[in-house]
Amino acid sequence: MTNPPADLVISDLHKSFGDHPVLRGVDLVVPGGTFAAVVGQSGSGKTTLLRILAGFERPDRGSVAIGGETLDDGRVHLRAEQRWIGYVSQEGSLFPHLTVDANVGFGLARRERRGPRVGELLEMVGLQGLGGRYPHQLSGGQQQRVALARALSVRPRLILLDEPFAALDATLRASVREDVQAILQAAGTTAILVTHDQDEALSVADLVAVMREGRIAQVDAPQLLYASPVDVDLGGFIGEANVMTGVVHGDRVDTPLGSLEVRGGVAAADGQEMTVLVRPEQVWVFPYEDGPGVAGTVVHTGFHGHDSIIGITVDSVGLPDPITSRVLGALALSAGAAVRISVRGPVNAWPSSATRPQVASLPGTDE
Amino acid sequence: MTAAAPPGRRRAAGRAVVVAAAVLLVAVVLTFLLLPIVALITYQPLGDLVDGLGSQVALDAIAVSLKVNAIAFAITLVAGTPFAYILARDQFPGRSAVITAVELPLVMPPAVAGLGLLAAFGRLGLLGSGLRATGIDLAFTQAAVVIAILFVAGPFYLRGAIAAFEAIDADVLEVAGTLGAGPVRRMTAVALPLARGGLGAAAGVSFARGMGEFGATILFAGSFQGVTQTLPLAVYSLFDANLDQAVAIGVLLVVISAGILFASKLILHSWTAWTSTSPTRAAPSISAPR
Repeated sequence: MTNPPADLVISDLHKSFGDHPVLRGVDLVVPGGTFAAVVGQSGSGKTTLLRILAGFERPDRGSVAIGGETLDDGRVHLRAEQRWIGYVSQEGSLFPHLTVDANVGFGLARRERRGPRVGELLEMVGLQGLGGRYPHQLSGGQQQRVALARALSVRPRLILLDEPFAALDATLRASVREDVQAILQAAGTTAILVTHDQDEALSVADLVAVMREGRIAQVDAPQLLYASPVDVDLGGFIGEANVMTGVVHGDRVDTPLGSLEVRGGVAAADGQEMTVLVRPEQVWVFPYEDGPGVAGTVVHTGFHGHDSIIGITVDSVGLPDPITSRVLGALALSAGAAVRISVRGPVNAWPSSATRPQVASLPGTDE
Repeated sequence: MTAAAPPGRRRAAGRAVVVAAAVLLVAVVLTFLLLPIVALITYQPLGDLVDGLGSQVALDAIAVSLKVNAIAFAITLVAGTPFAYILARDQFPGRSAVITAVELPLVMPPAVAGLGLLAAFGRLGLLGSGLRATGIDLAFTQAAVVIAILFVAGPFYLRGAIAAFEAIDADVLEVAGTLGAGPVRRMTAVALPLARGGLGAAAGVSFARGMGEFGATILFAGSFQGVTQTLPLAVYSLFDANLDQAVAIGVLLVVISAGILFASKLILHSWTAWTSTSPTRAAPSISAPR
């Protein structure tokens, strides 16, 4: 009965609603046992992708297969009840008329419903003893755990999480998120989390797919995605970024922040204009007026406990926006202070003409 | 404060007038609505009322009414519930046209409905000759009463049931699918319990309307004591012959209607407690369409 983790293979998936294309050729492979996240702005098509995987919608074109079994292609379309894919929605969607026990046991055979399985599942999500309660007697976080236990009850080949933490308040969100991550890891189930929150995607997933305009723009491990985005828009979406223009000079690029090392080397001729992305934590700030680095002036500071954000204008060149720097802990600097800044580590750079091949997002799109 | 006293007093006086007018309005409307009912009940001594209900005409009408309404109600629930579920949850071309068609009998005068049924199922009607060929003659039979009630009262249930099913959160039914529940189990194990408040209210309205059905029945089924003469038809036929008995039956119909009304309110009240899926979310109305 236990399903070994099976690879999910999505290829060339298309879906339109009316004459409005939502998915425009999605290709994605999620290896069995992986916790993947699909992240994108609203309207990028991520929810539609999830609904197709669950069997709620039928794709116009393309195929979906798990472990070699086709769920969708031109001829085959398995309905939701034939797929054995778990689904946890934003608000849990528990059956309000059933107890927690009956919710978790809904997908089980009648005999199994009375056995130890329901209790085991509740214990797995840390809710033992609450089986007799009704959903409205639970907190939002508890409801999501019940929804997860219910989804896992049928030993799904894949579990889909549709923004399951978005309805929780901020303090609860982090702890429920970690719990869900641990539970899924323990269960060894392949999972796909859909979210618009890139922090969430980076922090919980083994594999992050960024969706943009109905396509997967990049799939990588979180660290790699953050370090090597395919273009500057994606880099700015996945994390905070200082974006500026530079010029290739040998194997480095000259920018208002100095001559910077480019990750993976420069694949352009001298003099080529480049769009350069510098992460705030790469910008080091020194509280001296003179010294190495570029002269700047602090325009604003923000203290966040574990780190501080400092906005700095560069004195020599007119950059449209202040450079953002993130430093650990507190820094005794206030607006107006003269500082020196220098960039540590390699940065990302793309030839300027190729940095914006597409519009950032389609207006008026709805998932 | 003291300087504001005269306008304040004037305002208080104005408020008193508004309150008095509101109380008067409520009293007038209530009196208008309840006076005929009180008049019916107090028309004759209680003993005469009971005697009137014990008459053969009344007993026959009670038997006919209970039988035809029970049959029509059962058919309405058994056929109407899945019909309403499909209409509420499935998207298909022409869906809104079908819903409009369902509501058409609601706005049709019952007498016209009776004429229509005659024209369709009567001896000379559209299907009449075909039915007669198979040995079925519907007009002026008890089956005709059931058909008249189905046609006139059934749509009240359909409309309420469609709204009750539409109000269910689509996510909940979809999740049931991912847990292996096919369309039938999704309806019986999830949609029915979630919609039962709205379904109960709609069933109450439909049953009450069926018990009171008059116009379509008298035109399509006639008024034959012990066969097609339901309680409302008995009231009409006794109107000239024996007004006391007519009033007694009228009181019985009032009691039945009031009983259905109170019962469905009670059911609604006790069944709406758990319809909220989240403590942070307001309880969704189970009878109002989204």
